[in-house]
Amino acid sequence: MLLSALLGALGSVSVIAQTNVYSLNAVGYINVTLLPGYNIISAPLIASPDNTIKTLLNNTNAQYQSGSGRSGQYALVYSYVNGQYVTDQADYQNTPSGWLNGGTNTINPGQAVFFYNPTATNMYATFVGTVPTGSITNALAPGYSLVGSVVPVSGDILTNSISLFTNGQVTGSGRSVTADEIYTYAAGVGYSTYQYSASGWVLGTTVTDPTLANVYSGFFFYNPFSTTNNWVENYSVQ
Amino acid sequence: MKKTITAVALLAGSVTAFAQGQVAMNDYTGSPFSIEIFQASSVAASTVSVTYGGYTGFEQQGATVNDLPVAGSTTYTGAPLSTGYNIELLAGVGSGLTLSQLSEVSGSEYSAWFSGSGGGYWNAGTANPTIPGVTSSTTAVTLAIAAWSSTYSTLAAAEASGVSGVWGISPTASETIGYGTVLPPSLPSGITSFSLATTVPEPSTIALGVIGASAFLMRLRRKH
Repeated sequence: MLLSALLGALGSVSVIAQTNVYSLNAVGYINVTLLPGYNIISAPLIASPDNTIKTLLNNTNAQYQSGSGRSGQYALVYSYVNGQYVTDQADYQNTPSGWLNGGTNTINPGQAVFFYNPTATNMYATFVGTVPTGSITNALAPGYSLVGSVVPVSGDILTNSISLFTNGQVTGSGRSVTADEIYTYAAGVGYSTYQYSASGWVLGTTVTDPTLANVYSGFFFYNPFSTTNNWVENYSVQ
Repeated sequence: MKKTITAVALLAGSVTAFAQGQVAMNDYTGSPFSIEIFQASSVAASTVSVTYGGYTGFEQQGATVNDLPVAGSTTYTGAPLSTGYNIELLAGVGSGLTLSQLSEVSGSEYSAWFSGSGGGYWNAGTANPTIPGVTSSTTAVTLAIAAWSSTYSTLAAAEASGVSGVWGISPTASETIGYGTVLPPSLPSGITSFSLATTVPEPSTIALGVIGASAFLMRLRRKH
């Protein structure tokens, strides 16, 4: 399932009349549901003016908090930067961003963050922007990376026809195995851990590819090796 | 069969463990962790107004964690700390360590405080200091909070001054710190409210004082 209807894809055609140059972009939107508790979300669109938290999750109308002061409940966004979590907190009184630390951390296509919804009800967001096109490489450095697809795809991340994410790494076997791992996350449930093997990706004892529940789902990738693993995706407007 | 790593701890908020040697330092808001720190100076016991979860009530200063009115809570007679004091995280890798085994955590010093009914609560924003030496998601650490007067540049300087009431350290508490996929936890609930330390003269000092006073009184009696 790729570039689903969620994209509401308006094909935007911009024309430079004098030179007869045509630029065809897939522009659309993604409706995001932020469930109570923790969610790993990505933003596989190029938003305007940028892909910062304050743009994608604007809180100036207190959309991501309930109440204020000490009795308030505040959404948190955990970005993962150089192996460390950096947190921002919804705070509508902190103008103009509506976020305590200015909402300057990014969720660029290919990145993901943890969003914590402290309330018992869903929160929502709508990401608007241009779908990245061409051959795009998401470099998965050694260690943990909190990532998502660079284009809006869900389902099997290996067989969605635009992903070349088949080059998992593994050495050794049995208890001494060293292998790439993918941690998908479901709010209210927790992580599901996939480990790469000679047979492909394995969940528990079952050979199966990792799947993403939504086009905005993110996941952790663990690269235990010293070299970068490239996740290449290729999308072009038809 | 799905191999699922349960995230009960994660969903329980930030009480339990999470991420790469980091711990969330927030107090008072946005966290289940909530303690107050008080001056040591002795004044009349007082109460503070507390609003929490839509409930407004009164309590004795220095109630226990979460700060709702609690019967039998400790009464602190000093004023809540505010501008002019610093706090810092102390940590050591391992569970159940003693205070002498803890070290100051670099980058965990804060000097901002909430005001009004938030007096006594520090404001570290959304900081997640990194605790060195954490190498796995099962690594436990022992933690404490130190506070001192900003008249002194460091906690050590405040301690070395010998001046009463210029520094204090919370009880220690341990928790498992996460790593990698695990988010930073709140400070452990075993760290409770505290007041700055009152320096008590050593017994030998007291004895010397008694001897000196006695000698002075004897001289006075002889003169008369």
